[in-house]
Amino acid sequence: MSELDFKMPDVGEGLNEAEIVEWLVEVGDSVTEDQAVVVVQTDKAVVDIPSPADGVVVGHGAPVGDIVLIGATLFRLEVVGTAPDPSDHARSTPADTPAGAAVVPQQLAPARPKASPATRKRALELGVLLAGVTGSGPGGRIMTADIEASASASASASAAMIAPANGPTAPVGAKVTVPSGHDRVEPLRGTRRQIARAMTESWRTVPHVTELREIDAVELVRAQRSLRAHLEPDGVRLTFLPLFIKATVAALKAHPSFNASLDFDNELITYRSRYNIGIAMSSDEGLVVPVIHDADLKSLVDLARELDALTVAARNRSLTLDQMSGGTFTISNYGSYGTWMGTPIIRPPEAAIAGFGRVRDAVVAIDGRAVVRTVLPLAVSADHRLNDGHHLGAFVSALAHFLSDPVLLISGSNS
Amino acid sequence: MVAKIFRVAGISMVVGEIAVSADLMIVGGGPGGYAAALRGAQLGRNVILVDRDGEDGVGGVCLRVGCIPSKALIEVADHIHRTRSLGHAGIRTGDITLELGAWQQWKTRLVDGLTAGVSQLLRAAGVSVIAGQAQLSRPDQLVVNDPTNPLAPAQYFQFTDLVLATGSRPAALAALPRDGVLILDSTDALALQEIPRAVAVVGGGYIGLEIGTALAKLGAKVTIVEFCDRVLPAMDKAFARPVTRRLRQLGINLVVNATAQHFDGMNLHVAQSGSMVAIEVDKVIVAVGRSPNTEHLGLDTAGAVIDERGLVNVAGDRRATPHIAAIGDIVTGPALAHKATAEAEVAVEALCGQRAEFNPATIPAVVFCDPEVATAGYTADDAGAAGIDVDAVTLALVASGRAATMAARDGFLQLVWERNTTTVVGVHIVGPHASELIGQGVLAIEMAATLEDIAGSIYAHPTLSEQLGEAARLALGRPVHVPGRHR
Repeated sequence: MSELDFKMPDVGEGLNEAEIVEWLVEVGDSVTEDQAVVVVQTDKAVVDIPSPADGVVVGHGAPVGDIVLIGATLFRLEVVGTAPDPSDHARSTPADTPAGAAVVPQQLAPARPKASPATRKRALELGVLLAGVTGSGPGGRIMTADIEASASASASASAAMIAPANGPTAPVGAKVTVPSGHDRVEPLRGTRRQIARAMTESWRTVPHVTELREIDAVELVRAQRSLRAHLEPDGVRLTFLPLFIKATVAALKAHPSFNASLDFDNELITYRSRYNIGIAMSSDEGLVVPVIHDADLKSLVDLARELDALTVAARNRSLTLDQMSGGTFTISNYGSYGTWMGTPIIRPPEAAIAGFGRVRDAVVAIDGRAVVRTVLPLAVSADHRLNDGHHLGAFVSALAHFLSDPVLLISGSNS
Repeated sequence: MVAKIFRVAGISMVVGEIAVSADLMIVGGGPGGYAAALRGAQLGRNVILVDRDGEDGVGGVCLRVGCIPSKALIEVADHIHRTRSLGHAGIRTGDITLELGAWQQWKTRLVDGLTAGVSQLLRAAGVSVIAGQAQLSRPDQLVVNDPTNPLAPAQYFQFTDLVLATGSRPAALAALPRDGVLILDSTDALALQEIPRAVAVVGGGYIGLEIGTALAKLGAKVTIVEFCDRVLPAMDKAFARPVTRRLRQLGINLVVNATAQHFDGMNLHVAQSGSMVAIEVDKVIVAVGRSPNTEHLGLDTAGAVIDERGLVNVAGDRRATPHIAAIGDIVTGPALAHKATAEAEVAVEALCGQRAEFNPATIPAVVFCDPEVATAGYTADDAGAAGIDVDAVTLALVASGRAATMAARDGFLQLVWERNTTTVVGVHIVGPHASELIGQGVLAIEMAATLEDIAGSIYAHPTLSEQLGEAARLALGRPVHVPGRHR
């Protein structure tokens, strides 16, 4: 028997942390190899983490609701029989300390957070990971108050803190200010937290420029109706969205700087060869953006079916990491909520995002006469570092061109 | 949770294998074990401490035959030596000698006093202390035998939690088996009733240096035999230099790159670069490190793992299994009393269900040689090897006015900091009272102090502690007492 520290694995896409959603195996219970031990949520997906070996779980690295950094201890396992290859999983045991270190003082970890022993102890008590706390003290030093602020945000999660298998429950000293009245305070967790972080990141780093336009949608509505009637017997439910995707891909082909990504740190612009269109969808937890890969190679029927499948997966929270990754451009179909116009927020490193409002009848002036026409409100936000107003205008014009005359979409041409 | 119902108030002898329920048991009464017992009592646990020597064993090697007695010897040796060597400062003396028998009595009184103090603390905390050799008979059961009386029945304890703090013993050399008369270990050396005329110390690590230096100051002709190419081989080379100079000034014969082979009662035969050297000595002291006491604990029955060095594998909270923790010399890290004491707190808190982790920024190491060596955190070389970008300055002791009044010239203070943030990651001191001065270095490292924090603190004048501030100013390019143009 030997014990190993199972570290939070890198579940892909350069993610550096994950949130504990549920412990499937309690401390003291045995597991078999590949049995799921814990459910974690990353920026992209909810993932089951399996046990690396047969054994007994002797400790949880963090309680439900805590954020665990990649490489930090996720759980401790007492392994039955031969231990798995230590190269796969970092050993907890100190056996690999170099011999001859007897008189040498214990080494500091390279990127040790700047915090005093008292602050570190408080962090341990409150289950706060120092590495995830921004210090407010001199020179970025993490103060005890920073730890308590971080913990009070997750007060209810702390209350459910996991005690080791034996002994009394860990004292939880989190001081939570109980608000008066009927306010409810809850920790920012799960998908909401991911969204909050992603939006903050985007809004902080990307200078948005947004163009708003109403497009004549008479032909679009006609096309959608006749396609829907045509495909209905095959069990395909054709909405506007596949047509939006087709038009968007056509416009992107004409304006590659909108199917691009900017690496500002390295000062590189990448023009993407694939057309992977993210579709903003609402789920019970919040916004998710599954991606239709290679939308340019797919038929309207393919797109309709894939959209249905992704909608179901989003609702069931069963979207895979793959289905959530690799987007090059995003569409938000907020018209389905009744929205007229919006100003969508870009998903970095993508260069732009299109928002489609509700199709409606409006009085418009044509040749000096008030005429009732069906219109589609369209908004496109672009990263102004990559595209200027006139680029954006040209892209939106191309999009409008295909949307107002959708028959062009079958031309195969890009303009 | 049987222990919750059947708490033992005292200890009753149990016949056969009927186990007494015990809550928290500690094996070993040294600086790790007694600190663990006291912490357990503070946390409301019912604590039983088992030591091989019972009440007489509390304090452990450190208090009884290690740190404390050796410092008592070094202290008097220093006094005598300094008094003799301050003739140029006007001190006139006759012949000063140490009556070692009288010193032994004084040492015994002071050790007994301190041991009694620890016993009193344990009693006041309600800790039961029992004598015997403890071994795991089951993962949750400890059997305690009286090694001095094979007829006495064994006692069985059914424990909830267990802390192992069994410490270490002087490592033996097969070529020089201890007889306690001619071939001594460090414990025997501290029990000498007379200063030997000529003595060889095998091992130039901190224990050998401390004993060798003290005996030389007390008049013995000392030879230090070291396997490596210098004394203090585990430490940075720079630390060994002033120490080596002083050893030579004290007339100590340093035999390095050498292996002691055999002692015939007259001569210690040493192999050195292919040839044999005979060193005429009365006694040989073997001080080649320490071995962990883990062989007879029965740890395998509990599923704990002991590595090839005899150390118990433990997690960050010092638990080897959910209910058994191990601390001190029997786990990884330096075999130092203060490390064991610090681990005791962590281990007991973890066993009491608290979140705990042994994660110090540094564990200081101190050598009470002459001059004293004290080190905390990274040296520039260690940091480089660990991939940390650091810078370092070394301030010579001659810059200190206080050192001059102590007639101390040989030594330095080295400050190591992380280049980007100027956070101090290492403080290394060679010189008088380095063992005391290192405390402020430890504090600086633990608090993640920057160079400006240290330079911006005011140190009393004239003291040796001013060196730290001056080193920080030197690092920042604005020293007061170092000549030359700076940043």
